[in-house]
Amino acid sequence: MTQDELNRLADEDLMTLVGSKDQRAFAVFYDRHGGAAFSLAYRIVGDRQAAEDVSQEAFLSIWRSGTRYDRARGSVRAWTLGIVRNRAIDFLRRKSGKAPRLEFDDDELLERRPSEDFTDVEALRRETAREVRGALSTLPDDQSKVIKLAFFGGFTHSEIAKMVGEPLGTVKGRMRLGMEKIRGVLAEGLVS
Amino acid sequence: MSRSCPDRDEITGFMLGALEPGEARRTERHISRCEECRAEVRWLQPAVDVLAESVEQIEPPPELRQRLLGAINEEAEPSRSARRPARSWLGGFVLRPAAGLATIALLAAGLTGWLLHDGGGSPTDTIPFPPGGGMQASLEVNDQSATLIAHDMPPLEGDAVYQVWTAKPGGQAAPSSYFVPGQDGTGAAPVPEVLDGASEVMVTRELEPVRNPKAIPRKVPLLDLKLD
Repeated sequence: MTQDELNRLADEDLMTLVGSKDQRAFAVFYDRHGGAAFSLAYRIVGDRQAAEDVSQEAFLSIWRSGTRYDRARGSVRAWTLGIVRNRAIDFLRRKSGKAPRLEFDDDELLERRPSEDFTDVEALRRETAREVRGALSTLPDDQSKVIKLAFFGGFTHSEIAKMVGEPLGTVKGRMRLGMEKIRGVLAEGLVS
Repeated sequence: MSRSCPDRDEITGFMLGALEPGEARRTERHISRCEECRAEVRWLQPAVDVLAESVEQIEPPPELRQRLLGAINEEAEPSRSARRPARSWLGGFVLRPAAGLATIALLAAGLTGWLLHDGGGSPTDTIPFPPGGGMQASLEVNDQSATLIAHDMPPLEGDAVYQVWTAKPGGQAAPSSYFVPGQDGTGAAPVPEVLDGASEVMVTRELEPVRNPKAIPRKVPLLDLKLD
């Protein structure tokens, strides 16, 4: 298979090759998702070196168990980022007492990425991400905060309740309402 | 959803990783056998997925790609990586640490430490290749690994690769690993034969990776490093 053919493969087909230890396929896989993985890791661990370590661990684990990818479990992108998130949260937990970073404003740097990254798929992802950032920014602070504490900080309902000084039920409800709102924005996007 | 189902708050918490471990296990077990709850999960999943995409996008350092591809290349050839000799081999080389390459040396040390899970990090020496056609490369060597790191490599087409060859003193060259540079023209490849006493490391451009272990280079090397 030529490099051009590899570059044109769908993620799911690429993972079949990665599962059979095709190094060139793995390089394409990394080139597609390495940036998002590193960005997510950095968002969670808040340190470039640690983000590199987390990303490396995650991609190596995928290389070693590439055959485990199952189309039924969602997109390759979501599956990969799920692995990265788990690794990053594990890292935070190993470093007990590490506070999550919740002060980032994510929008500005997104626009600075090199133009060669703009494939159609990538552009669609960015558009979706932009919509989600929009949805997150329109959520009431108390909803977006509990979602961020859980997803990017790895905190449980009870821990979050203590941190924000609210009853457990209130925290659970805010989290659900916020996620349902994001889901609604996505559905509207699909309809439009 | 039936009475025994977790409520939507619990399912949302489960999907965001916000349940206590015992709660999470119970919820997961329930979802695995409850179609209604699975439907709820499927409905909410896109919202969880895009949270991961919503973060500020930053470029990973090119070294991460190099380390990763170097590591999988080495893992793909376990027979080579298993042949690691003792540390005394370094004594025979004239080592010429290159000024300004401290970052690359750290990278190679990091790769070695990671590969061996030793957390240690033995001293790494940088041996530059003589420049060739605008390309630059160096061999990063310590007592446990040798890695070729190349910069400014012209892009490749089709299945083409940069093939690494090694030769022992007085012996014929044989294929080692290969690499495909990234968009920034950098690439990395493990060269474990250096630890086995190879005295020359060469790089050629080939239409595809050389699979035959008895093959010899048929082109003038683009890069050629003779180890004293």
